[in-house]
Amino acid sequence: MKLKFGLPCSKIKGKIKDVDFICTSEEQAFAIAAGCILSGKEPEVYMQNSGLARSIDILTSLYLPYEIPFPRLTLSLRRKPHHHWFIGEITEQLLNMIGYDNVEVVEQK
Amino acid sequence: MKRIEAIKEILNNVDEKDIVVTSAGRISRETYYVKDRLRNFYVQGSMGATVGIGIGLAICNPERQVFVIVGDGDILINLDNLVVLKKLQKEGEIDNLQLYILDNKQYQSTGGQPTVSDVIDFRTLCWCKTIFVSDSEIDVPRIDIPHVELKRRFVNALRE
Repeated sequence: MKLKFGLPCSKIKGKIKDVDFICTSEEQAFAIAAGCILSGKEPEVYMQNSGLARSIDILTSLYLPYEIPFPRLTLSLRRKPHHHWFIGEITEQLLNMIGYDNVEVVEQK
Repeated sequence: MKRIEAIKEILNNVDEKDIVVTSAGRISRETYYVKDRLRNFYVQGSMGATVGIGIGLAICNPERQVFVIVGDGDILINLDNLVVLKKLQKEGEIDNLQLYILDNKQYQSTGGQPTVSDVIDFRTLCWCKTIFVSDSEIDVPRIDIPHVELKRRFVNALRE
């Protein structure tokens, strides 16, 4: 397996053509990635920023307390249409608050 | 069967090189109490993450059996994990993950509030084993090894 896990977003679909399988939640992608990292591997995860919001628990209750290094994250940052606006406005703050710097943010143009 | 007896039975089938992952609450604490091992990973928060962690471990350690021991509350909060596990099992991507669901039909750690597990047979969703359990009637201590140390020794043990 290529150890790339996540959920798709139209804005990053070009970057995720070679994934092994599509997860059913972003939290699950981070959980599977954690199992890989504990095994000494370097998985990647990808998702839309709404999925980062869904993953706050596993990042703060698993990765941070156990000091599991964050996997490389490809994050689609959306602010439009309106239902994306509010999470779009706080996405970078969330990343900073968690200390998630192993990330490529792909912003919608 | 009492939960702690179920945990003992499962651990009896675990070889030294195998991996055990346990879900938050009493299951992690009782596993630690029954038989602490370097290749046990105790999830202590992160409700719903344990099966995913087990999937990642199973993918990356095909030469080891991965025993995942979780409660019904942990399974229900992210029930979709079982569908993904079924997909991986069916397509032959994983054949070394043994999922045990210890179903006591309640959130024991928070005071015994009922779950909704009485209306579902988890075995219809993926290949897993369900054991209906009652309270262990023993108050085991909390895990007294720091999280970071638990991770460090687990990671090191997987390198061997």
